[in-house]
Amino acid sequence: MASGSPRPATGIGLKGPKDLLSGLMFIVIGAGGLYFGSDFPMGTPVRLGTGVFPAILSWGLIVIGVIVFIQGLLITGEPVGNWAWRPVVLIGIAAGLFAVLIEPAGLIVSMIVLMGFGALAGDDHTVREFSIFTVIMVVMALAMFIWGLGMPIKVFPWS
Amino acid sequence: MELNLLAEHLSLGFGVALTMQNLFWCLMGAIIGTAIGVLPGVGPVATMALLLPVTYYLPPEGALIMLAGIYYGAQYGGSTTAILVNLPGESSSVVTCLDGYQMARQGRAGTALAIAAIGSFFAGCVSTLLIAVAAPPLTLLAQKFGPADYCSLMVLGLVTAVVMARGSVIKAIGMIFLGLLLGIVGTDVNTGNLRYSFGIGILFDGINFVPIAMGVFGINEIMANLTNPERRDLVSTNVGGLMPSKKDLKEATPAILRGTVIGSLLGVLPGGGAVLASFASYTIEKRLAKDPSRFGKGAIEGVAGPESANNAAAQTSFIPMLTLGIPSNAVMAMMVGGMMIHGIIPGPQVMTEKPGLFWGMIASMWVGNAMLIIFNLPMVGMWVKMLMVPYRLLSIAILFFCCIGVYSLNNSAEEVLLITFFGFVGYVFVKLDCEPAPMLLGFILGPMMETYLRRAMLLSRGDSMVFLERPLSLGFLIAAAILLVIILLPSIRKARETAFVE
Repeated sequence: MASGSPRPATGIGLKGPKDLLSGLMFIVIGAGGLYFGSDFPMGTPVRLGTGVFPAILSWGLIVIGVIVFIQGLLITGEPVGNWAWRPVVLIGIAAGLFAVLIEPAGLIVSMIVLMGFGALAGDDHTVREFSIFTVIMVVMALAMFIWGLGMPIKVFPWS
Repeated sequence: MELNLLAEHLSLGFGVALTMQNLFWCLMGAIIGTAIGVLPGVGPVATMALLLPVTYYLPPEGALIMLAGIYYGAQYGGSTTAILVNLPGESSSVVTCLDGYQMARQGRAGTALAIAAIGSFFAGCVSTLLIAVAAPPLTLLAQKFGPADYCSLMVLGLVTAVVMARGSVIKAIGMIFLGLLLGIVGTDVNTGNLRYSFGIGILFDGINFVPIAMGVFGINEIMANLTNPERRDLVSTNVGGLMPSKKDLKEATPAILRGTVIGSLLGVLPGGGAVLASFASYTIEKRLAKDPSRFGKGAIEGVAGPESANNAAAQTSFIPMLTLGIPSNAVMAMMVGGMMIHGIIPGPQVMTEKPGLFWGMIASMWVGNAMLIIFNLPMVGMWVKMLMVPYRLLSIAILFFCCIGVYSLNNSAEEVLLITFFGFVGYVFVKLDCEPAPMLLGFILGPMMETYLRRAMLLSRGDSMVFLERPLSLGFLIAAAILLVIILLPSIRKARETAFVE
């Protein structure tokens, strides 16, 4: 595993970028756990305080993070690959807008917005297909959640 | 005597499972589970996460019966996709692709589907009985556990789950720690102190299970799937005859029997479950076959064995969850999540305090399996149609169901934002090869483990040696340590990696 064919230089010469980043992630979260947990009371051995378990876990994360990081330094691994920003961000926006709109604007409006941004995240949508699909989905959602399960959700902006 | 007791338990269970209401929920679970499980890229965990909020509106028995139905359904649907499209709907049907798809290409898709269903049904019957037999003694045993034993058992469970998972062991351990840490966010039940809530209102009561599961398994999967557009080679809409011939049955029967045994055994192991069982069964069938070269070219044993094994394992993996309250894989974590939504704390007390629910759920497993075989085979045509819905539309529908599902739980828009957040986080995990399933296990076990740790320390008057002094606890810890050492030894690690690649 250690030797093998030399990989084309990635510029910075990182051997195992996935492990390096995962290691860093664990270390940062562990350190954050310690920092934000620093004022939790530790209690006594008989009555463990609020801070004991988080401290154990945070230190555990830091130790594991260091091991994974070192692995990343020593063992050649795959590159992380391209981040698909478009679908990730658009799906995030779609769900985020739904969260923001559902209470003021009601189900139908927030659904259409969600589905619109969701559609932008994928490829090959046509306006015709999307419109038909949206109508079907809205009717189905109303039938299932509002009339069927009777969920207390606002339907129209004015209702 | 024993038999009488078993009969009594089962009749109590069937009394609950066979009420019209619960039959209906079981059927709904099985059908919806299959429908969503058929869709490529949506496995049982995601399916259950997606439908968890719906069960909130049902009585506890109905909810759990439906969830269990969703699980078998999703698994069954996964095999359908594997056979017809050569895409594993979930990881335990990876091996079904090998021979199942080949059978489909030879025009024997119907036979493959039928044999998968028959094998699953047989395995389901046997393992349901096994659960009914094994649950009471194990529950009795579990009631003798002290808090220290519980704590060590959870450590053992988490370690085994890591060993059985794919990918890097050390990263999986990291993910467990992360999950445990996420699990204790919010108000500390023992002292009332707030932890890591950063003044955000919805975090005061802790992070809910549903948003985290849906974010990491639902939203994240949409993001990941839209990134790697999949090919679908649907063989044909013509499935062929469903009835297997006498020769097929003769070839498949021994494989089904062996698969059932292997699956039932491996399923009980924490972290084992369906994936390992199906792989093990395929390997064994190939070894035992007179002509191993037939495998990969449409050998019926290669479908019958793994499909029986994964269903048996899926079922017996309920054993540790039902008796000890410890989920052994992500699916069981979902079941625990479903129980907690209804205020049921899983553990040995469930059997004694809610016998109707406990035995009803076990009986419903058999009912669910029976429904799958009765309803699903004739509905294959419909599943094939579902497979033709393009992912660009499916992704939007799934996204919507995630959002509305989470919102409807508490009518909380903030929780919808939370799934968005966990969707991003999950995407980062996937990019870094960090499996999110162990995190979910840790998340469920976090608060339990802390409670037991505190209780153990209180009972031992602050002596942490209690974990090594109690024989049971010591045994669990030694087993966990041995497992960890074994898995970290280079030679075995290599063997494990090749096993997963194969």
